[in-house]
Amino acid sequence: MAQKRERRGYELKALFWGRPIRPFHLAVFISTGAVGITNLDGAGTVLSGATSYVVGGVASISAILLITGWWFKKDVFAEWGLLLAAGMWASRATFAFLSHAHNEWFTIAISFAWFVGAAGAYLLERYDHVISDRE
Amino acid sequence: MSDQTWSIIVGFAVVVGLRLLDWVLPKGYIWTKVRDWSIKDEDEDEK
Repeated sequence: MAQKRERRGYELKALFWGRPIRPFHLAVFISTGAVGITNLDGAGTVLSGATSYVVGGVASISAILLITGWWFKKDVFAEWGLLLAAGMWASRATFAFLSHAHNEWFTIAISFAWFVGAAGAYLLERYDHVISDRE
Repeated sequence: MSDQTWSIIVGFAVVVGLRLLDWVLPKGYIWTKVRDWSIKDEDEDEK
């Protein structure tokens, strides 16, 4: 008989297709996926050239990890997805800051906000594992 | 180094830094200062 899984603090009470709904993970998936799609051709809204390919690739991998982690109920995929997303957003914010990109303050603020959110979500995921192991 | 190189380095450093932070944070412990600075929620006890 399957063991009942305890709901975590960042999950909604309802299930979708038998899977827990994690709103913030979904938000990271959408935003990171958008960066991935716009950068994979080497010409994103902020980045261009080789950096665009690298960041686009990492963003795409992150988005894939997040959605497959949710679908296959593998928390380790979500952890790595959030970790890579945090790195990608930090990279984007850094480039916008250093290169004085168009509308830079807005780009920096949004990128930095997503970095903080993804990094915090990653640490929360890891902390949840600590709690589970302890119990 | 160019702006692009720096951005890649920062991104990589963030990933490594978060893993390091997770490894360094002690497992199974809570920060006692939170207990010192927090106020007990009386309403929670009544529920």
